[in-house]
Amino acid sequence: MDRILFVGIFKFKENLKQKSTLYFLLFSLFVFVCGIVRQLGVNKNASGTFLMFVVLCNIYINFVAAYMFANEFSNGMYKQLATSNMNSFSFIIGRTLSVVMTSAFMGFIAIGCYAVWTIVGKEKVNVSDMTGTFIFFIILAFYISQVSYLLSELFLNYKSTVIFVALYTLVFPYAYVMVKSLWKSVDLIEKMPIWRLRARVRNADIRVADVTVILGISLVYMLLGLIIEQKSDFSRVNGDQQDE
Amino acid sequence: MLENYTTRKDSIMKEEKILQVKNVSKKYKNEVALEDVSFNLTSGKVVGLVGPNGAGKSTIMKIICGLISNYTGQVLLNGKDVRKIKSNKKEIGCLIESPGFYPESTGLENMKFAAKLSGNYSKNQIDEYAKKLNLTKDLKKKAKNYSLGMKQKLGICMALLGKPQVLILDEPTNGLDPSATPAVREIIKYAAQTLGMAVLVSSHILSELEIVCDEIVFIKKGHVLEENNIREERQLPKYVIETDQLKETETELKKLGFNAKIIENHLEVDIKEEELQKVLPQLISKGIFVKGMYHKKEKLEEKYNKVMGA
Repeated sequence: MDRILFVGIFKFKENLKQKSTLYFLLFSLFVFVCGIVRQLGVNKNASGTFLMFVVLCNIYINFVAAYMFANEFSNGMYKQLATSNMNSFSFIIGRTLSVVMTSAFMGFIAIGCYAVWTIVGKEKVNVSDMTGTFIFFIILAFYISQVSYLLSELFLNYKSTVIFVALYTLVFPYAYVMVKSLWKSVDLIEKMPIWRLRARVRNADIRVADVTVILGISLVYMLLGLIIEQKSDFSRVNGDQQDE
Repeated sequence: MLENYTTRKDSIMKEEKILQVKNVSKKYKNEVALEDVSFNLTSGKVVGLVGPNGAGKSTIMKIICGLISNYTGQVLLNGKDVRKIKSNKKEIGCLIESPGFYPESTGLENMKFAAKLSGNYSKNQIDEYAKKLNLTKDLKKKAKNYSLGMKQKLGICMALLGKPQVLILDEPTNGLDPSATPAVREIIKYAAQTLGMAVLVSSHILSELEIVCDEIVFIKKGHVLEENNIREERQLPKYVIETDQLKETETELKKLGFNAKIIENHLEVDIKEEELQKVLPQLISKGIFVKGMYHKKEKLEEKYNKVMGA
């Protein structure tokens, strides 16, 4: 258990030291300032700005999860991990924990910004919006971690994992809706379980069924990843054969 | 811990075969990477793997480490197929090709990570290995700022942490400056002789392997051409005898039970120095005039060229 926690904290800290975290924090500062300006004007809407910020955080967490699960293929640590005395499942949980911690970190930033905006704009604080968002961030982190794990085991490559996590979470849903819209009206939010969950969470309408579906999909992905990992052949990892 | 140490000590005394590579073959598409490769790794001994680029050295090392599972034959670690050993029971430390590390973390953090994952974390061990490889003062630097040689040293330290039974080092002196090479040589010896690890090391620097290895496996185009116990060879010196009576000398030495062979214009004989001192008067008494003699040690480079057919 302490090793799972160690992996989670280690990778969380490793990610914090990355330039992408700095960019995220700068971006958050920019959104925060924009939110303050908005709250000082006549068109106050802390919830609206908060929602936009949360969507952007969601996008960022996709990249973080891909990094947590696949960067070992670019920095060569996969060889250390393959010969370590830690089993795959513990390592998945450790890395998932690092994504959850990053997500919680972003959640605190987003909620902090929201709280300040409401105070500045003298608006009423929507507590369910804040707690719901936080819960959603945690579930999202678990879900996107398993997506990243599965894709990293399929590709054994960091760049491909990042690209396909982005395609899976950002591009495919829109493509699906656009194609389906050719013959049927489709509500994207209703159609995508993770987006449906976010919409309902924001309205303090958390349904067990929604959470179960997301967790179920996540567990299926994790299981598939584990099966693929057992048959992994690391000779596919980029550049390894050429170096001999 | 004490029990582990005792077991390890016992295995050094017995020189147990920790790892057996049995008839391993591997193909990449239609290209043969390894063909029927077999050799053993014994506790407390260093085996050198030498061969030209593309010989299959890294492939066999990856197979041993469990990084490649799609091959025929068997790699047995303590009698169990490495493909069937659960990751939480593996006993292999490796540095294959380039060392792996987390670039944003310091050398010390990376070593802690490796030690934790090995399940045998010890601060003393980290300090000890870092000191042996002169890495102590650089441990607080971020790994991404390390030079190639420092990264290599860090990789070696990380492979050693947790005191695995088997240590696999692929080109460990790659990128090291000449002053750092002896430290790596010493730590390899320390790993085998003191910690009782079975070590497999590949390198193109044959003079280094000659010093550190007990056995050499020559590999070319995926085939093991020869296995050579250079430690035993060191104990069986070869002498060159210069004489005009080559044939007579050869016959006399063979009669006395020594392995003698005429090579071009001299005679080579496998004989210890003290035996030679006894034999010389006997040769002279037979009317053989010995013009000169000297101790011949075949260098690994010469052996390599001979085996590889260069």
